[in-house]
Amino acid sequence: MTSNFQTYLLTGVFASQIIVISFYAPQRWRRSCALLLERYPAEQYPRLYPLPKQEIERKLAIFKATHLAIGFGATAVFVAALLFARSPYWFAVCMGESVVVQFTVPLYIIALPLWIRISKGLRAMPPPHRRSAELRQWRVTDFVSPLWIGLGFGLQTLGLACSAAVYLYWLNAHTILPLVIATGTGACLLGVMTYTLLAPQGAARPDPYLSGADTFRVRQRRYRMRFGAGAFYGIFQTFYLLLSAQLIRIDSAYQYVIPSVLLQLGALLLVSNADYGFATRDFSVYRADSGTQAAP
Amino acid sequence: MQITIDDRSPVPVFSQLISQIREAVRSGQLKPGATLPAIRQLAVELQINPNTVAKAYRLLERDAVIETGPRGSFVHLEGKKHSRVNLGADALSALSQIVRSLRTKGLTDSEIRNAFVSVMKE
Repeated sequence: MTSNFQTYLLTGVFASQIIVISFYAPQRWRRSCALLLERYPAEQYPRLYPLPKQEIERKLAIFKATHLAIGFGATAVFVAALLFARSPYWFAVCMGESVVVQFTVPLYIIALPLWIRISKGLRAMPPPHRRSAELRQWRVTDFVSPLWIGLGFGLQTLGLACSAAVYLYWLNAHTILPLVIATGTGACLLGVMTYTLLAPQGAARPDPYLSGADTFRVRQRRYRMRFGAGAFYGIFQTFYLLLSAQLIRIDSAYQYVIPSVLLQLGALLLVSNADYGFATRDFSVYRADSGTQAAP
Repeated sequence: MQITIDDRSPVPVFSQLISQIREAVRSGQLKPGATLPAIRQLAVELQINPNTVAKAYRLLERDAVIETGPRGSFVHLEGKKHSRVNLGADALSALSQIVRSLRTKGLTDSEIRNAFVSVMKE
């Protein structure tokens, strides 16, 4: 590969992708979990751990080993690509395939099943005998600002309008598959946002012991994510379809930079959220002697 | 305004709901026309059966403390006045008077109980 701005950019993004996704973010997440187990031991806070402590620790050890193995594998791919890639495009392809493995394998094989098991375990726990609730009708605007809702709907509608335009004026063999995927996903997101806006706000509690303020925060985050995903995907859909229809042109090597940067930001957001929750969450409700629960 | 239920209380959960909503209306914490949470929402928040909430709402509606329409349940416009009326307590008071007078006339408790059961079967 020749030394130019594109090569430097791709090298920098690939290197940061390995460091952030495979080493830094998992290490911070494990540190949060270790701190949680240390500060709030299962003996004093039994309601915080629906699964046996040993099982959680075993899963975390597997999670660490998987991340390290994938991280070192990605580093090997990085070095090999740096030495042998015929062009920046091939280097970018290696980076793109690597990011998929780095991000999805630990997430889907270990983190997601563990999260599902913990959620199920929490929901199966008997609720506290004394429970409170706010005697008011919750609306989605209690959790998310109208601006946020407007952005979600507006940008998603823009994406779908773009789908319609591509279907009407630029439909060909290259655009049909991106069009179907982007429109289907966009329509699903629009459906989710519409349901969130119109359906009564009776979402299940994340866990029976979570304090009122934390339940509110969890729901707020959940609703913000739905409308934020709608807005974000609307922009992405527009960009993706315009790119497929070749109405905008970007060097194909750069197309691999965008998902990598987004996934790195996503990983950083996930760990910062874990830290934020750790700092603000009320853990006293999980104590063995706690029998009450505040209103959300 | 918060509503609290206690599983360990000898008072049934629906009665706990009724008495707290009634008290909130009586004290003015819930204004006439104020929207009450949907049955499903309140059931989810309190982690109780939706039928329990529905039963409480139905009895409050019967006493005209709340009213339910297609857009949900609201505090009745005359809810504050009606919340002072407790049909359950009224019934208890009326029955106590009758039982007392029947005892005065010399009827035994089992005769009164049999008479009550016969009337309830009608």
